Amino acid sequence: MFTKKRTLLFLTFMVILSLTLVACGATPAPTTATDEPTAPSSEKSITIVIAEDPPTFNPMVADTGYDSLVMELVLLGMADIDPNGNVFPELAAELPTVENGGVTIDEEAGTMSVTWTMRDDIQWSDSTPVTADDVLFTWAAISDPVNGLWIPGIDYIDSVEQLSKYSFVVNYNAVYPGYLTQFGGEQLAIWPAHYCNLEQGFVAWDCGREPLSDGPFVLHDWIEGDHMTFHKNDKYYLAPKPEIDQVIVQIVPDDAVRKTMMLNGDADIDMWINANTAKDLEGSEGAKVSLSPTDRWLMRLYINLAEKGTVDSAATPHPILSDVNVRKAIRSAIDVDTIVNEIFHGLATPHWTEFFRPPYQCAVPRPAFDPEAAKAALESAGWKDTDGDGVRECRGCTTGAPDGYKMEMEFITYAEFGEPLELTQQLIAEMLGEIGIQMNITVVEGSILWDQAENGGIEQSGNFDVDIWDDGYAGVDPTDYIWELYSEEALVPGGGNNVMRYDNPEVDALIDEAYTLDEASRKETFCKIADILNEDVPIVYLFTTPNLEAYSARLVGVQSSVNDLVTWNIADWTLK
Amino acid sequence: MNSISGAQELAPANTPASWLTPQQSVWKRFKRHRGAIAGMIIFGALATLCIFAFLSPFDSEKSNLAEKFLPPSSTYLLGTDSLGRDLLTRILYGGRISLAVGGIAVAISLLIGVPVGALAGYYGGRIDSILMRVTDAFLSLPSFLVLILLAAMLREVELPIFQRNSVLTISLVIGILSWMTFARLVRAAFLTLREMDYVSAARALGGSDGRIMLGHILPNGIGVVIVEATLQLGYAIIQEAGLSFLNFGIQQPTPSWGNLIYTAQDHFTKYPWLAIFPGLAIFLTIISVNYIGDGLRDALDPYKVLERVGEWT
Repeated sequence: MFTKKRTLLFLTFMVILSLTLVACGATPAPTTATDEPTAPSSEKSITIVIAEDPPTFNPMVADTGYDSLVMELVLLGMADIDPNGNVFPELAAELPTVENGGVTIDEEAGTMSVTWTMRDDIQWSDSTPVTADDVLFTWAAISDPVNGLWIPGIDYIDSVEQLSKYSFVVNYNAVYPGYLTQFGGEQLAIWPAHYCNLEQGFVAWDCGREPLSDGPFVLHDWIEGDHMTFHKNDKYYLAPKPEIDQVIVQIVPDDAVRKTMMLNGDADIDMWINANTAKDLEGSEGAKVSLSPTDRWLMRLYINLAEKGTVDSAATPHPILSDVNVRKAIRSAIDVDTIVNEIFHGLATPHWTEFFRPPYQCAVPRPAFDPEAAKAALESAGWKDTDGDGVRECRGCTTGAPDGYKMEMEFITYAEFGEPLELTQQLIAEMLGEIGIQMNITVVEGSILWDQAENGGIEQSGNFDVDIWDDGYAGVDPTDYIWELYSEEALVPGGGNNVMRYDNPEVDALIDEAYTLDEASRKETFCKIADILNEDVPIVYLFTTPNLEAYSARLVGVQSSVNDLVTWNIADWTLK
Repeated sequence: MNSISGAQELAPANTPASWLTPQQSVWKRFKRHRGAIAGMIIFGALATLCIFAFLSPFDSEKSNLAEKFLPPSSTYLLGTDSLGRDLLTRILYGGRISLAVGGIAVAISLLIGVPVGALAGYYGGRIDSILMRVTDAFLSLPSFLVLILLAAMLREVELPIFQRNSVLTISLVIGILSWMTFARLVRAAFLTLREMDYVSAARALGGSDGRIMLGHILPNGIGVVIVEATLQLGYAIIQEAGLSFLNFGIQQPTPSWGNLIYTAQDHFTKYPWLAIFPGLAIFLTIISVNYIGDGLRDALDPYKVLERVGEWT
């Protein structure tokens, strides 16, 4: 029988034996070259760090941002858009307008035709020229009834016809203001007809992961979960650009690690940093922060006008939030300035309307922060704290809630934004608690919050009371975005993003009116919509945050943009 | 002295110690384990502080933006967090949550594991085979991954009691994935004890199976269950911390030790106390309950006594 001492001796012996055997054992196999990012072949190599692999090079499939980031490296569209909202041609020889005859409008029929002429000096990396065949092929893939995909404005296109090797015409069944970036911008590229397999479908084709390039770089290798390497495209039409020879996109999931890499000079670009990281990089010698010149992302509270778990605000109105006076009280109780200054370190700007960006800026009066007025409004709306527990109950409220119904709701946000949003959520819950509304906080992944109703997406299935997250439209045309968010057609699950289940025929009529090329009329229409939304409060607008990108001090030409990913002008970047 | 005490337990009729009750005897052996005593003191102190957290002059959830990110001082003993809340108060309230999750999860594990083990051990045969294969199946699951999966699934549904990310929900998720050890231990104890004479006597006197299991066998096999329960408590606290750290657990502003560390991630280099102190609380609790479990095992296990006697004879 072993005694305690013998047992200890035996164990010690076994440990030593094991260590010796491990030390004498076979040495681990050397790491293959493909497991590591290719060593910089020249001095002009940069490293971009991102949190996860892009699903493909086709942002129309999943729209994670990372797909757009790498798409900008290898694929071109007909036109793209700069940080100030100016559209510039890529594959197009010039932008079609009414003035240059590229756009013709049939006033009687209410239709529009846009003729695009392409450059004839652009070729794919296998030396095949980029032609109108590729555009027609891309359109066929998108509009395929089985394997196709919805893109903004697709419903307005009647047909796309080839006119010559380098020109084609898009026939619209209405006047569509967003035509310039419909075959380009941050999400859509033109795909090679001779290389992609149409039968595999636009969403699933192999060339989405192994694309041919007509952009400034060519994909060299992709080790999933680790890195992607891009080499300079010698056939790029703006040669000798790009000046940089190699781009390594490294997958680094942890944002603290990415920040440290930026501080240590181990990375050159960290996209979409938050205000905390920007603050930490302040004063750093090796890293700088680029701010977008305009804002896009408007933080807002999405208010569910239908009862939680339902999607029809008329049949099943929300027992608390269907009263506009309650919604206005919530808006009055939130101290936006404190959040902007204390949580976002001043790197955010208060905004109280959807229409805050040029060229459609509307003079909506700023709602006052007045918690006392908010309390009074709730009292007169029939919400009173009669049992003294700090939470109001329905005592004569007009929403159809039973007497004694507690003013307690779930308040959801998404995790990916990071701490500043979670702190904002907590502060708002506290502020609403002060006026007697109890908000129970939940943080979920964005994919759960925004997924389709059939997949259990919280918003689309109406399974929420109030959400907070940031959204806004790309480019300079808000029409489609407004339609998707506020129109009656967009309030059915899957029909759009009207998850508030907001239904106002007056707004619907105005949205229809906004589909015109008459800029003065559009501005007037948008401002009328802004006034109505300000009164109806289906959404409480809070503040905007600029796009923030960290970049290394050795990089020149980096400019953050709300209209595109930071790599929108990577061909122009140089190294000091 | 040690040899004397060992002999006392083996030969109770010949020594004054024969007058010790079984509980006194267990306590006496437990006291010999210094680590267990230290663990009990530390755990007791932590638990007491958590229970009396309401005596703190600070609110655990109300922000005080003018005082954010203050280092430890005489006013804020452990500093303040990103919303200016006193970290000590939040750790103490967080401790309540973490300990509650641990306690409830262990209770759920016991409720599942003990009956499964008792039935398998007492009846044997086909029942034993079926129940143990189920236990093996659960044991083969990669527990933390399944834990995350369950937590993610449960927070998408809204049930009357098990609300999203509530203490009960998290405890349930942990509990239903950690009952297997109890089942195995109880089964082993029942396999041995069911052959004892006093069980045969009880059966001969017409005792029902339920009465024999609950009234005669279980009380004699409860020692191992108690020891395992203390170890599982620590395990459940770690699981809760892990889940909350991954944002699948208790939601802010309600503090738990796990979510306190989660929120400290962004600030670890500039404000390290935000991560160190909650981490220390978890560390102290886990090591304390482990030592307590260790001490209890020594005190309750008769073979340990024999082993010790063997050392000196």
